[in-house]
Amino acid sequence: MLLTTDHPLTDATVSPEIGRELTDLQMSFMKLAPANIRYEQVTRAITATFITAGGFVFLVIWWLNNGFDIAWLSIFFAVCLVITFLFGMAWRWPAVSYRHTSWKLDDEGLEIHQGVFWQHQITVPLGRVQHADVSQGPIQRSFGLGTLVVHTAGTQNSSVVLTGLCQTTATELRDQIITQKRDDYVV
Amino acid sequence: MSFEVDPPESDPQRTPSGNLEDGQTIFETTRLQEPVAQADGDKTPSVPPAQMSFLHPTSLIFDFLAHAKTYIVPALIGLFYGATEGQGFLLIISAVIIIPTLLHSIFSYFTLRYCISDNQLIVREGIFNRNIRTVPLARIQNIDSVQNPLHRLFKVAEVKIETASGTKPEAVLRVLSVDKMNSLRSAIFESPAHLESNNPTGESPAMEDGQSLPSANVPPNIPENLLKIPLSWLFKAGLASNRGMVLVSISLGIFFQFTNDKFNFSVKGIADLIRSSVDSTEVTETPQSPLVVFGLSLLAILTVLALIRLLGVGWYVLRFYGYQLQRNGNDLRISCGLWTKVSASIPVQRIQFISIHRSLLMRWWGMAAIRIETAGGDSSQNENSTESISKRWFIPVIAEDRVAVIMQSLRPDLFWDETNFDFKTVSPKTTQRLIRISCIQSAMLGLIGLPISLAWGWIPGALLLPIFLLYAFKKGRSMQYARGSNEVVYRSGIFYRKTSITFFDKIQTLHVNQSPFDRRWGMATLCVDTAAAGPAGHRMQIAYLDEHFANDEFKRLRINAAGREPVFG
Repeated sequence: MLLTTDHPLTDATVSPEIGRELTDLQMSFMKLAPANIRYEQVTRAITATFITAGGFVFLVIWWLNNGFDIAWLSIFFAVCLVITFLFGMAWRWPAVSYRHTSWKLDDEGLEIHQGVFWQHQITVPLGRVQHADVSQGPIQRSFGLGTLVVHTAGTQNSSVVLTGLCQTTATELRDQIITQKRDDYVV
Repeated sequence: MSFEVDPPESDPQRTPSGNLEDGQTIFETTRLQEPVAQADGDKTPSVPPAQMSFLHPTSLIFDFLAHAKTYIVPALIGLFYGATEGQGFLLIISAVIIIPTLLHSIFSYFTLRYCISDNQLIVREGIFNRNIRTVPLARIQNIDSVQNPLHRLFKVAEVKIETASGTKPEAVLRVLSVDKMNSLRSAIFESPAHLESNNPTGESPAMEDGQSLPSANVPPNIPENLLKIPLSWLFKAGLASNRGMVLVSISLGIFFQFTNDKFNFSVKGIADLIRSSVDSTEVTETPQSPLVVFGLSLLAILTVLALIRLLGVGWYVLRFYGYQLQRNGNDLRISCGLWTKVSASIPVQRIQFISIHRSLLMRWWGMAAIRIETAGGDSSQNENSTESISKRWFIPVIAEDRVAVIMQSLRPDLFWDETNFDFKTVSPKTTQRLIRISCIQSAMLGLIGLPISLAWGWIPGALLLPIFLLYAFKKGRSMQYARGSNEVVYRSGIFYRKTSITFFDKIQTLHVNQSPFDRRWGMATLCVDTAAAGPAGHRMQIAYLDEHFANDEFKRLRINAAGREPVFG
């Protein structure tokens, strides 16, 4: 077989229980860049501002058409409530979400843990990466952040996205993933 | 999706731009902008024109039909009416539609040429944009052919040359004579480059019991028969399937399409039709006793059901008559069909996912169906088309005792014995959780019913509760998961049972998902994603697993998936 063995073939060919404690793998999980909290706050605040503007435009139109009445007042309070909630979330949520996101890259591949209520663990085993990108939006750029996108040949999750890494980390990670990728891997 | 096909040592044949860093292109397509006047072959790059072969002359007909099939019927009707009724504009419209296709067919017949040279298949085509397609022989995965009765009349076949990339065939040769197709096939499959790429080690995968499977050691032009499906199996499969239902719905659609004047409301129309036909029979002359009416309608329903099943049998026989599965080196060859004969080949190492389906009737008869998924090409949308046979309908029906042998030939390192796997059921709390869900469902139904009728509205909900409960009880036990030394097996389904298997080296990504409800019950969903998940109609998403078990399996599979070299290929 003309395959490079850049990582050792263990006894795994005989038994799936290879001599490694599963708990060892729990080490070396990494957090996202702390700047990502502020970045998330900013983007969420921007979205909330747009929604607020929309809500007030709606209220003004209602007021011009129907005048000031009890219905307007109740809608006004509802809108205020929603806006408070949105800004509150924009302020608090990124930190919560940050605590629930971690990733690691080890000999077995990339693993990502995400999600506060709906929690997801996803792993891309070594050698399954078709290609990897790093992208950066304008606001991300001002925070020095980047997004890593890993493409596999899979169908349901053909691209795995990790957003909120330091741009330098993201680039390094991409380079590592690409060098880890075995060119001779065939689907 | 496209993947690198062969080991890097075949690089000398690869064109420089065919580098597959991103898995984008497998062949090199050269486009030369040339006026049509020069398309006569004097500017053929790298190949002298003498070596190039034309397609079979009947290509003119088949190419025209293939392009015109979407509108040929209305166009012909238009021509007919235009000619008989003297409607000149209809004639012109039809001509405007037909003539360009005709011209296109003629041009493409005279411009398409192909040859094999320097370990490459070269197909040159094009009217205005000259397109030269170079496919290295080592990359060619399948040579599929389709022969409908018209093809057979002229002793020709439509040939599709496939590589692992994308969903479309790399080159379609429409049409070649059967002799030429066979010589092309043997020229490609017996070329040194192809043999080398498909069996890089040259060693034969040995079976556990000492028998060795045919491999490159055996001359590849001696195919080994693996399976022939007798007519009786097809009958059983047809009777067990709901294929006929599809045909009925199609024919109903056509029926109402053409009779929409008479039946404005389809249901009312049918009712009127039945009433009028009943009125005209002699039943009305005797006083209609409820028993007679009941008996007659029961008979009618039974007849319709029997007809549907018979249609299913017809579908199976038409499509899979003379089904034959052969093994030729590392390729599996399928050929079948009564009117339209299809032959396809599947390289064993491309198989990503195997799924065994057993419906209730099939289980009673000791039969099963095997579906496979291969990388490149997804035919989940059109399971009726001839192209989908190799992917969607790998083995339409097989006796239970032959399954193990076939599974072994699909994956030599797999020892298939379903009773031998250490199947784990999902979390023991699943039944409880599903029962709670069904109670909530029937309570909701009852609550919806109450405002409609205070006295009777709750009854549907209450009646459905035992059914829901039974379903919950059965479902909790039907989902089973096992991890072997080399593979992951998942089975599910109460009436229609599906058992799917994939291999560590085919796993693309792994997930564990946990919703808030899952956390409350200490459960999680484990998903195993492979390339080309879909056509087999069974996804490896194992819900309701115990969360510790799911996390453990996630970690173990992760190690296994990464720590394993691709087994072959």
